[in-house]
Amino acid sequence: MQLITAVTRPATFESIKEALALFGVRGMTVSQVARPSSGSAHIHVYRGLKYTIDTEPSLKIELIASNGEVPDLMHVISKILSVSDPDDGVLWSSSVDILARVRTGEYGLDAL
Amino acid sequence: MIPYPPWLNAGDNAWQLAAATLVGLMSIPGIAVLYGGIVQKKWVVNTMLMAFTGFSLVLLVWVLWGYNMGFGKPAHLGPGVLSNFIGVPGTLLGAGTQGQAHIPLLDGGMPDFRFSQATLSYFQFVFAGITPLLFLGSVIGRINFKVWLIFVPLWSTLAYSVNAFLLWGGGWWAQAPRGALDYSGGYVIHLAAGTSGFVAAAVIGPRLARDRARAVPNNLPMAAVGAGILWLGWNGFNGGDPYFAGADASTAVLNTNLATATALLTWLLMDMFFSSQRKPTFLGAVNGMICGLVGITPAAGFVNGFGALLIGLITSAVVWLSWNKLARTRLFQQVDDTLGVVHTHGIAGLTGGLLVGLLADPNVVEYINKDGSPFSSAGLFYGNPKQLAVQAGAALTVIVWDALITFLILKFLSLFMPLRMSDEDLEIGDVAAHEEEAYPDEGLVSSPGGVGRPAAGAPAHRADAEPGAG
Repeated sequence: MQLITAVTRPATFESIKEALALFGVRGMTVSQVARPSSGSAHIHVYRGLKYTIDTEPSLKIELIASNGEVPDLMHVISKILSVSDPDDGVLWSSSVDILARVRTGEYGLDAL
Repeated sequence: MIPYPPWLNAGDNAWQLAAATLVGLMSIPGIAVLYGGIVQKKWVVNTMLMAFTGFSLVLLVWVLWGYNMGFGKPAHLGPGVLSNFIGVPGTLLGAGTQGQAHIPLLDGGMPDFRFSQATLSYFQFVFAGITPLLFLGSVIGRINFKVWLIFVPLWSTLAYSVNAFLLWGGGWWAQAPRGALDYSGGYVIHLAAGTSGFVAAAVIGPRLARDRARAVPNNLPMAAVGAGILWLGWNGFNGGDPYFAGADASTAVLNTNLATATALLTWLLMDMFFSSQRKPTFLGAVNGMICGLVGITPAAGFVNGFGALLIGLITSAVVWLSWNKLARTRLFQQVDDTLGVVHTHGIAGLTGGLLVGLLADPNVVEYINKDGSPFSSAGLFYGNPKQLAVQAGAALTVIVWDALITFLILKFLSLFMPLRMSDEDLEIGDVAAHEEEAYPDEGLVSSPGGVGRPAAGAPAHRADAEPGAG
């Protein structure tokens, strides 16, 4: 099993969700994170004082897939990222040792 | 058979009470949420609580002794001005407040009031009540809350009552041959707040350097609510000050809105053309709005529409310059006036108060005297050059007296308690001072129902766990 992680602009999330649904994949975890801004830092002005904000909000999407499915899923997601977020989108997978599926009580290497 | 005395005019009484309510709303919740939305998130509760408590403290002081010190019989403390700068303290707790309103030194000099003493004293209270809330803006983010609770009654008694008596209670500056003009408190309220706030900010010291560098607002829509209440509430602020629900009240309301709209747009355009970022900003527009409201306050019922337009334009431009240029000088960088009250209230009030010395139009009638003659005022552009000098003198008095009183009160209090919160508490903010925060996150609460109260159905547990532990 592998944990696939993608970090991308929030607007990309819909495309990724729809594409994964075509594969029958619905379960994923989404968190709100920040990344350094693409392009130059943004200047905010409040009451005449300048503030530099050089991070922008992003989404981290994580899903667990069996080894057999990982190449296809990563291929699909990377295609979407190359269109929607070519400069800053990132995608990687890491290995998962044990999965405990709470609903069915399964536990172990194959509990996907 | 009308069920109230013949001197009472229901229209005057109704408008005076409505105007007073509008001004009260400007404090609660107006200033509370305007400031609450503009300050950084960790000081929201502290700011709003100082607004609510400041307002309440002034009301107590007002009915116990303050009103009569501002509007009562003069205290004869010496010759000349010393007999005409403060009234004899007295309470407003009896049923006598149902009687006809009187300001002793103005009796006979202007038409009799046609509402009760309770109406007049409540109306004057809401002005006294908002003034500390304005200079609250200067000391946000470090003043010790206990100091606030004691400072407000002392300042209201010693500074505000004097300002009010001198200019509105028939005191020295109002009397002939001076005749200083302050329609609704450009000096009594705004110059006073700006001066006192600046001095207090200097004496108490600045916020943490980190806070000063990261002071972004937390809720602009809430600030918009506060700003809107201020703008329209000012219809009561200026519309109620002629004391008669007559034509001058209408003039004051129209002038107020005209000056405000002009000032807002002036600041906006100056941001678009002259600021370093060249962008129109919402908070800039709100600043402009406030400058217009403050600038027209000493002048609303004395000037004509053109005068109001000029006041809006000039006051906004002057304060824009002071906000963006003067604020960068060493003195202003050292003194941490958190919300810039010295600019938007101090300098704006001074500018408006001087402009009325130029622009007061004798064709704008304040009221009709008992003998049928109209009462009005004239400024330099209408052939009365003395008015400008009088306005300057009155301004100087307010600045010097208020600065001195603020300084002395704070130095006195510093003998008994620290003026600032501890650095530890300053790092934490609201939770350290009040154990509340503006936007608590229920997901982070670890013991449901708080310490000592077990969740429904759960076994009782010992109530000695610390809040937030685990």
